[in-house]
Parts: sequence; structure tokens; C-alpha cells
Amino acid sequence: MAQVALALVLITGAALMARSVRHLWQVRPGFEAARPHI
Amino acid sequence: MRPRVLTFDIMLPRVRYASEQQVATYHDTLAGALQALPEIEVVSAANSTPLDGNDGCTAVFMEGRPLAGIDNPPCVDTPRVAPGYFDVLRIPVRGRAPDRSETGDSGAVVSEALARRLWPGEEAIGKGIRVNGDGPPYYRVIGVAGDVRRNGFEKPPAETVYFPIRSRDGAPLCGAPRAMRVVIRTRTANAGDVVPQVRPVLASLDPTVPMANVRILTDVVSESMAQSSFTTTLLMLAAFLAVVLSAVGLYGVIAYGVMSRQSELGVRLALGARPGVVRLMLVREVLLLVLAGLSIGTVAALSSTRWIAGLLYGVTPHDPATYVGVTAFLLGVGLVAGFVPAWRGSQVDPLIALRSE
Repeated sequence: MAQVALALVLITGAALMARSVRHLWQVRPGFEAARPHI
Repeated sequence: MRPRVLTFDIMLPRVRYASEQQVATYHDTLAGALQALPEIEVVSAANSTPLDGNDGCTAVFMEGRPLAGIDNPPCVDTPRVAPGYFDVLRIPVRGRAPDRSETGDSGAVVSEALARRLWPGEEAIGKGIRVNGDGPPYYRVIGVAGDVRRNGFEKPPAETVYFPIRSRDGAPLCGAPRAMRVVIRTRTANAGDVVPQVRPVLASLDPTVPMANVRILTDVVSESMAQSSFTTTLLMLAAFLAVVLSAVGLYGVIAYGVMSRQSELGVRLALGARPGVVRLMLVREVLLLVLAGLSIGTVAALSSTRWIAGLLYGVTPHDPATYVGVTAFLLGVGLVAGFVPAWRGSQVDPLIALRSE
């Protein structure tokens, strides 16, 4: 039970961060710079 | 898109480059020499470039609008740029950008966001702007540049006035910009390939001016994302381990429970309970365990994700879609981990189970 709870906390954090990074990579910087894929 | 922009820093010694004119002449000469190379398309320089961590600001004054009448005096980025800067970085400019062929006083270029704020509903081109005190002469706005996220992707585009290297008489800027970042747009597939050609050109102009901090603009962009990417990688690794541990743990707990209840299950099966019913009973127990864990985990996650709220962009710490997705995933993992021992428990041979009793 505790393991499931811990897993949920960590996966939620990782998922939120991954979504943030994906949003950041979609931002147009206003200048041209080839950006590598993550 | 390919990584075609090379950047490097140079620091001109004060003894030989005391005036803005000397600095401007150096950059004109450098650009001319480098642009003679077939691999190089455009060369320019600026004392502050996007994502370089320089987020200071300077108060600007507008012609005909004393600051006393403005609620929120504009404090903006004021980089000094050499001609060609907008071409190298492919920043769109409405109006015109500074040109090497022009003689006399150069104008300034303002960003769209600043133009909207300073002259709402009016044409910014032709207006006057300056720093270091109000009053004429002003720098004429000759162009409006597209907004650039100078201070990081997570921050809004910076309000910017791009000033020339050389101040105009009576409207001094902040001294001769001897520390500059040279930006080069190359024709090669990788901008780094031109470094061996650039070094001797730089040395021939002035051997006491070395190239420093040589980078491709792509790397600058990647570095600006480094903290978020690193945190995400660490969290993903920890989350993966946690999923594996919880799956193994659930499997172990249920498998142990089934083993210790083998005789009970044997009796149930001997009395006519169908394997499917026994399986369902065991899975229900797994489900209760998982749901309890998920409930505690959800409460813990809701209160702990505020620790990473400062690192989030475009998503809230309590994003419902993320919580629903993660909960469904873990529910699936728990059920799969619990189903295997439950299935084994339902396959117990009643005779063996009773004999062992």
C-alpha cells in the first residue's frame, strides 16, 4: 500500500515535469535556433 | 532546421579599444573578413544575446512623453547590436534594421511588446527613444522586431530596445561595449565546422583578442532547458523504480497470502466454488490494497507537488488529467501484479491442498 502511494507521488511529479518540458519545447523563442528533440 | 548559428565571446582590451568608434570599427572589420569566407553567410555581434542569463534592465525615455506622467516607467533590455544581428538570428523586423552601409547616426529597433506598451495604437517607427536622461537628441525608431524570449522559455518575451554600438552625439549609451558576443550564421550543416577557419581570422585582426565560450546556438537553447530536463529525468527514474517496486511488492504480498491460504482455497474449491469466483475474490483483495494506496498517494501527491510548482510551465500542480492518467496506470499495474498469484490460487488442486493440511 505504501509502495503504491509512493509510486503515485513520484509518477505524478515525473508526469507533471514531463508535460512542462514538452510545453517549454513547444514555445517559439522568437529567433531561429534548431532545437534537438527530447 | 540545422544548427547553423555559432556564437563566441570576445573581450576587446581597453588600451586599444577605448572608444565606441574603435569597437564599432573592429566589428565592421571582423564581419568583413569573416563574411569573405565561403562557409559564412552573415556575421554580427551584441553585448547581450537571447538566453544568456543577462536579465538586467535600463530605464528608457520617450520623446514627448515625460516619465512623470507614466504609472509604470519602462525598464527594458537594451542590448547593443552590430548590423546584421537580426539576419543572423532570423528575428523578423518590420521597417528596417541597422545596415553597415549607412553613415551617420544609427537608429534603434524596438521589440513589438515594447512598441505596443509605449505607443499603443500608434506607429512606433519614427518615434524617439533614449536612455541615460530625458531630452533631445533621441534615437529614431527605425524598425520593430519580433518578440524574443531573451530570459528563458518559461518567461514572457522581453521588452527590448536594440541600440547601435556607436552612441549618437548628445545621447550617450552605457560606454564602449568591449565585451561582445559574436554571432555567425554559417552555410555549413553544423556551425561548429567553421571554428578552425574563424580562429586565424580573429588572430590576424588582433592576436590579443581570443575566442572564448565557443558554442552553437542550439546548445545555448538546450542549456536553458537543462534544469527542467534534469529534474524530469531524475523523477522519471525514481518513478520507474517505484513502479517496479510496487508491482513486485504487490505480487509478493498476494503470492504469500495465496500460499498461506492454500488449504482454505482448497476447501472452497472442494466444496464446489468455481475457480473464477476464487480468482475474483483474490483480485478484489488486491484491488482494495491498491485503492487504499492510491487514495493515500493522491493526498500525498496533491500536497507535495507544490514543491515542484516553481519548475512547472503550462501545467498546474493539480492538473486533473495527470492525476487521472497516473491513477489509471497504477491501477492497471496493481491489477496485473495481483492477477498472476490470484490465478495460481484459483488453480490449486483441492486434493493436494487438503492433504497438506
